[in-house]
Amino acid sequence: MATPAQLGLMDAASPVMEEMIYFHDHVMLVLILITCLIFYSMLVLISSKYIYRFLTDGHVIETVWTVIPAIILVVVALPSLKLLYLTDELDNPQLTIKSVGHQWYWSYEYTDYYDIEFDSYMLPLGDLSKGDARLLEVDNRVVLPVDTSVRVLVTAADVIHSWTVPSLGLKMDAVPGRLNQLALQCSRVGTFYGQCSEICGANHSFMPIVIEAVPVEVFEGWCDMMLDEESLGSLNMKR
Amino acid sequence: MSYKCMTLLRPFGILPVGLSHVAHVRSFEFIRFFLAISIQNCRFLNTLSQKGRTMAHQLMRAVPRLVARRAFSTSLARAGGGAGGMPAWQVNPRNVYEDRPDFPMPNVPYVSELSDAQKALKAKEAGDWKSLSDEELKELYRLKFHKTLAEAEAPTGEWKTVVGGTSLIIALTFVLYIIQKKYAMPAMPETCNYEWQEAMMKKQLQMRNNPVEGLASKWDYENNKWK
Repeated sequence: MATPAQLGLMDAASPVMEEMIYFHDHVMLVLILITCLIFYSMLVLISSKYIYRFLTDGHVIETVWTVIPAIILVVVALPSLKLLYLTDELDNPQLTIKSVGHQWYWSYEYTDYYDIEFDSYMLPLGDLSKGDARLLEVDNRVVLPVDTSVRVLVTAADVIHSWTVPSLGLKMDAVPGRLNQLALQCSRVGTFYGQCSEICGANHSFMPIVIEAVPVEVFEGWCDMMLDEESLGSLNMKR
Repeated sequence: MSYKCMTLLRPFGILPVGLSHVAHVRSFEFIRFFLAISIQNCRFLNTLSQKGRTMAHQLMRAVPRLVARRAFSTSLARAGGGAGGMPAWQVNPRNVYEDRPDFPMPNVPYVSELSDAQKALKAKEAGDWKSLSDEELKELYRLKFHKTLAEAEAPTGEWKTVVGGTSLIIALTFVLYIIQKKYAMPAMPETCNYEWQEAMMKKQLQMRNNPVEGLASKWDYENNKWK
């Protein structure tokens, strides 16, 4: 999650997010160069004492400042398109999970091998333990194995929501009646937070997403726990 | 096309030339050609009738003449000022005195209606300038110009008003905000107090939050202190 007063992007937890950070750095460099050029031009013009009142056109410079931005746009667009198609690539996913948006919580289904389903509600202020993040913690997290290619099918049950996890570079609209596919791969163990990103009603700001990336053995243990009827009953979850 | 048609089209400044002819002429020469025709047509209109001394007719005759003269030469346009008894600013709206530091050459003199003494001074100016005293030279300058270049370029101090007004409004905004915070806004949640923030940071360090360049990368886990 972000630290207080953080301005930049969070550290990447997936290969796609790493590429997005590189692309962001590339475009930011181009923007800073252009901005510096503009500020320099403005400074020089303002501090100059010469005035030419009858300037109407300058065909050569107009051509130059059309062609050069076109080249700059190509320099930005080529990596952008490459990244765009990279985000859509799905490399033989080993696990498929479904994420369904409701007003105002998420429900998840792991139906590949077993039938695991649970709802994920935001923890209200009164239920937080000391040090928990307000508006971000949930009662049941999405537990996934690390370094595993996962397919996430995102949909909604009522209105449009959006399933987002910025650390993993993920954002996909959850549209009722439609299945959208996301490719997810966590590169490191950790907890990654996100929030609903499509206005969906009064509690739109209060339906977060939490992904817990764990080693495969821990994930298997979690699955066993979820399948165990007794522990499910104590956790008040359905199977 | 017959000569009669050509005569009818003359008042509009259009000669029935073919497009190919126009295309071969450079744009500037075409404009001069068009204006020359306009001037000829204005003279042609004048000869049409001696009637039409109403304002509308005078204007109709004056405008093409003035546009043509203005397009050719500034001095000719200025000489046209006051035509038909109209003041200079009515004839050409640009004939208004203005002190412009970036273009210190006004179109008209500052004082246009001279008193008898001023007229006498102007007549003296027509003679040898060495006979003019310093005071007379300054008087002549002030007849032509309102301010000297130095006076026109002198700072007005307007920036102080702007900065002062803006600062006052920002200060009032701060006062309003403090009043709102004290009396109207609800209390902050307990997650914003220092102990909770400290506990949150400890949890984030335990979770290895942002270990590459962010928070956890600044913590020395072996020695349990910041790097």
